Amino acid sequence: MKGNSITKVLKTHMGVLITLLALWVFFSIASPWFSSVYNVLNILNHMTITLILSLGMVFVIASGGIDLSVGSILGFTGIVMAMLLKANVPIILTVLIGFAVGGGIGALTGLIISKFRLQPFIVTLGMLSIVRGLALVLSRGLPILGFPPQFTRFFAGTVGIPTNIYIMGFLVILVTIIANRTKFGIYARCIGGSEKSAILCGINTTKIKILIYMMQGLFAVVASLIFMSMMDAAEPLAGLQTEWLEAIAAPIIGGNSLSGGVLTVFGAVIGALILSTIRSGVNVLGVQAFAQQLFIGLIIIISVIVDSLRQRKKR
Amino acid sequence: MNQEMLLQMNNIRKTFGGIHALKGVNLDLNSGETLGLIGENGAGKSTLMRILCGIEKPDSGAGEIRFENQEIKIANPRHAQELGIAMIPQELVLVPQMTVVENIFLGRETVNRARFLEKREMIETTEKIMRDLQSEYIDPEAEVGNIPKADQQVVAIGRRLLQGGKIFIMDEPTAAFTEKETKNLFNIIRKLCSSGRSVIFISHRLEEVLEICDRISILRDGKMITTLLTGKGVDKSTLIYHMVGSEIKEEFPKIEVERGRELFKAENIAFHTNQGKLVKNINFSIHQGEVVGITGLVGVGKTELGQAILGLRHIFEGTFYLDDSEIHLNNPIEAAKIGFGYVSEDRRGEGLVSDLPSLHNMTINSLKKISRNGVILPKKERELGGSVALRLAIKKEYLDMEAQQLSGGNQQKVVIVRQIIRDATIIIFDEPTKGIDVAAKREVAHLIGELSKERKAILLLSSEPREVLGISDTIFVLTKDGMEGPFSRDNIDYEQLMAIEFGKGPTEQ
Repeated sequence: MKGNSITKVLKTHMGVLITLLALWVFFSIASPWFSSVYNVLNILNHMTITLILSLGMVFVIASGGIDLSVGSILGFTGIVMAMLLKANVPIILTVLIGFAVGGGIGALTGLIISKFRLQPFIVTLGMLSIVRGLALVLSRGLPILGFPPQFTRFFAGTVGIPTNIYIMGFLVILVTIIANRTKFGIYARCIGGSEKSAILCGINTTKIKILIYMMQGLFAVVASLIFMSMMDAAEPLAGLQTEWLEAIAAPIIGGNSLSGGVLTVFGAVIGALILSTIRSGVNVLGVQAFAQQLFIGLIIIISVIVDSLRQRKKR
Repeated sequence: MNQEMLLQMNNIRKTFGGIHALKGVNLDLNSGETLGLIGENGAGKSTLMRILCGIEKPDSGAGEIRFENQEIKIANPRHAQELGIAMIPQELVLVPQMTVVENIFLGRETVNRARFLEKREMIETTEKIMRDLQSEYIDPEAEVGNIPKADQQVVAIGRRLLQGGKIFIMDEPTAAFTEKETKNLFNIIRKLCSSGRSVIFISHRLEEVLEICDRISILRDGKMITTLLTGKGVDKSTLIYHMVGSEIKEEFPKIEVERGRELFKAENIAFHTNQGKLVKNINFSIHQGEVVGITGLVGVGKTELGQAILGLRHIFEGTFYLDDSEIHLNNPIEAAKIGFGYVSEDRRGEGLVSDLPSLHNMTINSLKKISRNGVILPKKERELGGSVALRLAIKKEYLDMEAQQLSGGNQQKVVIVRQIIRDATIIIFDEPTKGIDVAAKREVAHLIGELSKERKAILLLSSEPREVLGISDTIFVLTKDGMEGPFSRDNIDYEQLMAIEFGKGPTEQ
């Protein structure tokens, strides 16, 4: 039974697994340094923010939606929490407030989307700008530097390996359980697969959508905590660059379909791994850093083509 | 048989904008029985069932619905579902990306005390439900989108069973089924009934209705004509007699036209329907000024034939000829170039750009005619569109209204105007009078006649035998066994047409 489902997971992700493997083989041959323990940890370390954002995104995508505002929530909650820390608010309280703010913004997004029956794209595009604006206004555009060491050590310290990798691992397990073992996981997919069916079966789709976007907000806060701790700074423009894009790209590369109904946490993990591997490999090869974006873009397009071909074959 | 009355619908009336769809219909259903509900298209079957499912409300005042000996008002579909009235629609509302278990338990998942899903338990229950319903194994963990349509229907029934369904309404459930799948469904129906549940079986396949139903209710023109006990003396011709009635109305006055040379010919065409059924040996030709009507039950492949001609559907065999030379069309663009025009069955989805004014909708595929150097000349557009619209009695003020604001009949005219402006020489009409009122139906029929007067070759695909009989010069009937015809309009009458449509073979049982 158990063994069955593992082979099934491997089978459905064959394409991305082969891609990942090919990239590893290629970069390892190109540079012996690539597969060193140090670099592997580096790859994992650098994928934490992308993957943690993706863990919320898989539910959004499964429900047939998209959330463009995660980067902004990351930036804004970072500023809020930094200001609280600077005002000597206890760390625990600061983090809780951060979660409340991030979760609240997400819940509001979900509420607007479901109550007014709007396209998630346009609502989260609006939120992207609003929340980023809030971050800039609140911080006057300036970064906030220097946090208590207990804080940064918890979210981006080292206990054998970087602590953020533990956090990421824990969240991957948590989300896998939510996705596969709870009603919420089924309902998120059901909304994306056939919202009509969900409604006919008496599922409160409004509530589920609010929860989905709220959860995405919470994950943005976790990502923000790690970002702040890595930098020892909160940037109003944090999460503006490729972070939010990769948070969408990683699940898609891993087989989560933008048309909804499909949810694979494993796929998102592999997707994030592929992105981080390219980033690192390109660095190791000494190619201009700017070229990374180019490769990542290519991988995104190719994986979407593969997804569409797979869907067409089904029909 | 258990003769307890489960449902009674008394004197149900329903009016849509002045048209009486149901004129005081009575229907009763015992527990443990299968009731057949038959009637022509538009007789009121769907409306009656939509009322039972809470999708439509009956006209107030008259009528009552009694369920388990209590008068009830069905507020909405959810309410109907809670009562145990379970519609198994033609288009199944399953989630294709989810597994059989997930679909069956959707909205009523079993969880343990920690609120985690009891997967094992749900799988076992699913297996049991499926085993009780049918002998063949369906993997509870298969994705629903990947299992055959017939199995999907079993899943849909399973879901309704779990939800506590008491009345199962099946609307044309066997339309896409093979014989074996149909037999399987009948076994399921028998099992449902023997466990005290009831089935309302709506179908155009009379031999199936005769086989599976205990009683058969026949609707005609919004009235319940009779309810017959299946058995001695009740056969297909009895049913057709009651469905058709005696009066034949001259609904569609025919315009007589001298026909010209042969313009289009289909030779030995074979293609697959949307349900994957093979249709083959399609042969017919259309002359200038001729209206060729192809009728047949819903789902038999008429729309798909139209698509095959336009290059929208792959054909396995055969050739199309235009003016005696072979044509091989790959897409509708090529088809339009050589003079094909198409009026889709799906007016809103495929026919019109609903937010554009009617005028733009009329000229949208003839922009060259109204522009100079790639720039549209609004004055010219208005002149051209306006003049054709005037001929078809489309009011001037409609030209600037968004297409979606027009009535169904006027929308259909807009689509037809488009083909006239384009100067299409062969026009394919797919269910041109679907969803429009009686007066508009006559107008559209008249228009088709007018077009034939202008030497156009016309192919009419319609599941309304009266309409085909009224407007066509040459008539074919597409059945699940192949295409019958040609019949000249003078040599065939309505009852003969119906008999062919419903299958000529001897009644089973």
